[in-house]
Amino acid sequence: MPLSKMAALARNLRGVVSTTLVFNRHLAFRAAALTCQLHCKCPGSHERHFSALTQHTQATTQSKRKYSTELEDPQRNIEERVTAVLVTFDFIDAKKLTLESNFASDLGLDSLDHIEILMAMSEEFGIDIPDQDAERLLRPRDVVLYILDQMSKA
Amino acid sequence: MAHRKEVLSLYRRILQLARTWESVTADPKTTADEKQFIKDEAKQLFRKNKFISDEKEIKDCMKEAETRIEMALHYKIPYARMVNFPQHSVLPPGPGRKKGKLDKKLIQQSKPIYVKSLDPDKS
Repeated sequence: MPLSKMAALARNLRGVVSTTLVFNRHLAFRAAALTCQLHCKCPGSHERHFSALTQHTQATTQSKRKYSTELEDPQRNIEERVTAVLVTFDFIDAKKLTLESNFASDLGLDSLDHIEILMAMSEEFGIDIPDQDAERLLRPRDVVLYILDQMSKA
Repeated sequence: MAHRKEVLSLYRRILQLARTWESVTADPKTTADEKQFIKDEAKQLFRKNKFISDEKEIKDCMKEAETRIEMALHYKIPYARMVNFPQHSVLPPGPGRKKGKLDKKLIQQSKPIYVKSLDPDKS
């Protein structure tokens, strides 16, 4: 075979090989899912099979990212975020603020301030806090427990 | 203390309005300015009227808050609507009067409810 043709062939092969390496994972994934659907005799959706495969691929490709830091200690995480939000208010004295300090009696806040605080909390955590629940949340500790509760329900 | 819950729910409504406010021009700077204005105005006026104990006054203030909310939603303008002086309330200088005179009683009577808590000297 002439040299130029060999070189051309090699170049094409290299291109093909690299693209297959890229598509390989996707194709294998798709092929696996399809074969599963074709051969699997179990009724119902194949989303379970699909999700097992996605989990496997995600685990292998994104093993460096740790999604579990928030879940390791959710209460501690929420406490930190609540304190961070409370400190941003200028009518709250950061030195007096603890998790147990009552908004009205210890920190000297009135009901209008209370509403502002709860609005900021619901913005921070993406949770809606209705009026009847808002009446019961009188300390940062109550807010933390309420948010934990809501997040576990959602 | 009778209307405490209603007053607090009004305050909450205004703050939620500020959260989702979009200005008419859809310009991000005006939207941000108007949001900040709504929050500041609500905070200032609610605190100013915090210690009112007359039942009728409280009801008037609640009506004022409601009216401001409805007008802001309708006109998409959060600022208070300006009110003109009524007719014959500004008396010009003439015989027996060197300077013009304001008929303060008439002006006070003709003010609509949505400017009730606003300071008349500030613009």
